[in-house]
Order: sequence, then structure tokens, then C-alpha cells
Amino acid sequence: MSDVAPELLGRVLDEHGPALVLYARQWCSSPEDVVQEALIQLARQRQAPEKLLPWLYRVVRNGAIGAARGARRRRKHETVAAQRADDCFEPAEGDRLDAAEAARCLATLPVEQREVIVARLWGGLSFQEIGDLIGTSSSSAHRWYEAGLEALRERLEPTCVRKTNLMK
Amino acid sequence: MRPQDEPDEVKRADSASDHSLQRFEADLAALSPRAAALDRDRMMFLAGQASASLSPIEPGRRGWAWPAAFSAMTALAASLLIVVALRPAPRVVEKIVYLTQEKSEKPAWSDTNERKATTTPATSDRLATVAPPSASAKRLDQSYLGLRDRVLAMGIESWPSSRNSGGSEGGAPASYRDLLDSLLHDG
Repeated sequence: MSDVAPELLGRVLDEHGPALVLYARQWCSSPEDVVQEALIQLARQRQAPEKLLPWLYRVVRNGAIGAARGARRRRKHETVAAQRADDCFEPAEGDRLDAAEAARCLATLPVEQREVIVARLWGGLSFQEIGDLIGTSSSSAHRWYEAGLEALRERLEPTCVRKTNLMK
Repeated sequence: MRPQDEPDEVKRADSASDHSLQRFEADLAALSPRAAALDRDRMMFLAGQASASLSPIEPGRRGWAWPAAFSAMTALAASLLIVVALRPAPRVVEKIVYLTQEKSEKPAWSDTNERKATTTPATSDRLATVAPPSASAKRLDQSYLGLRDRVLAMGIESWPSSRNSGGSEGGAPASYRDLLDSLLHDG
């Protein structure tokens, strides 16, 4: 039997499930299946991984890339992912950014920047863990993160200003 | 949500970033990813199924003992089959051995023990080999034992005729052959 308790699985699903789905969505059009398979794989472990969150993100990343393998399929899935990107954030009244617009702008970034931003902002991974995850240094991960944020700000700032004016 | 264990280089990079980017970062982080459209019950069921299907054998030892034993026995059986198939057939060597019979002047009936000791191997020798009769053997033919041995070894044709052996002197024929010879001679 596995040492991974059902309570742990439930907690992971509740606390990190949406971010993991958002992360898997950067590659494939069926991120829920990838995350579900990752959680089942976690249940198969005899002992819970020492660093659970990086382990989960690695499994999800491998699964998502595997699901979108092949250049043609990958292009197709990235298009589908971009088309579905507008519904990946929950819209809320207090948000200063438009959720749908933010999702659309995020989908236009290069996959490396998207990956780092999602893992950092919503996954809560450190740059060292992100570097280990994607096979690069922490400083490179940080550079991609800042570049992605800068690109997003350039595209979202007018929306942000417009939304602030509308609220007034 | 941001972890606190950042490397120094990254901390310096963060501190070097402008405040507007940090504010934008906070605004972006405030967006909540949409709840995963996962079937929680199904996922928990599949996870429990996967957990229960784990074998009690240790992971490093699982599944190699039986295949290894099977492979070893298969290799052994194949080796034995090859050995049996390629083994040469047993070679039959035919060898003719000629034995010389000892010359003995003693009559066969003189010593019973000695006769018993010598007759049996001589008989078997005679059965296995064809030895030319010698002069002493001719003399021994006159005796009953010698005649018996000779008939057993060489067949009924070796029975001495009454002319050679002297036959019966004036009386009834001693054997069938004597009778046949006498009838033919008379006729």
C-alpha cells in the first residue's frame, strides 16, 4: 500500500489543483487529464516525495509535454490552448486586471515565459525550483520571468487603466 | 504564496526591479486560476485503486525472480536439447579374435576337477571362434565328452562316421549314422 494518505491527495487537489491545471494548459488542451494522472501517480508512490510541489509540477510538465508531443500536434494544441485561455482565471470584482484579457495576453507569451510565470505566481515555486524543473539556472528562470512580466504589463496596462477609470 | 528561500542573486534582481513591475506582479498574482474541472470522486477512486494495486514485494525486488528463473531453466533446457541432438551415434566395432587352444595330452576323463575347470572356457572359446582341429583333438573325439563338445560346437556334421571311428565291431550299429552308413554300404 502507498504511504500517501487520501487526505494529502485531497488537500493537494484543493490547494494546488487549479494552478497545476493552469500550468499544464501551457502545453496541452486536456490539462485536467494530465493533472489527474499526476495525482494518481502520486498515490502510487510508496512514500510521499520529499519536495511534493516541485515533484508534482515536474510530473505535470512531463505529462503535458508528452500529451502534446509532435510538432504538428503541438502547434494544434497550443492554438487550442490559446483559444481556451480566456477562461483560465476566475473573474472577481476586486481584481485590478481583467481576467480574460490577462489570460489572453498570457497565452501570447513564449512558452518558456508562460511556464515560469505560472509556476512562480500561482504555483509558488522558487526560482531555484523552477530552474531545476525546466533544466536551467535560477537566474535564467528569473530573467524569463521578468521578461514575461514586462511583456504582460505592456499589453495589460492600458486595460488596467481603463478598468480603473470605469470603476471610478 | 511566494517562497522565502530565494537565492541571493534573485533577491538582488528583485530589489533592482522597479516598483511598478512589482505592483503589476501583485495584481497578476491576485487573479485566481479557475477551479479545476476535475471529477474529485473519480480521481480519488482511481488514486485508491492505484494505491491498492501496489504489490507487497519490495520495489527493487519486484518481478525479476520468476523471469530470471524462467530464463535460466529455458537456457538449460535448450543447452541439453542441443547436446542431445548433436551427440554422435555410438560406434560399433567388429573385431575377430582368434584364440589358440592349449594342447593337452591328458584324457578328458582323467581328472574331473581339471576337466570342469578347462572344459567350460574351452567350450565358450569354441563357440566364439572356429579353431582348426588338431591331432590331439582327434584322439579326444573318441571319448564321449570330447564327442559331445564337438557336436555342440560344430553341429551334427562333425559326428564321426563309423569308418573313421572304427564303428561297431560285428554287433549292432551304435548310432543312426552308423546304421545309415552300413545300409548304404551294403546297398
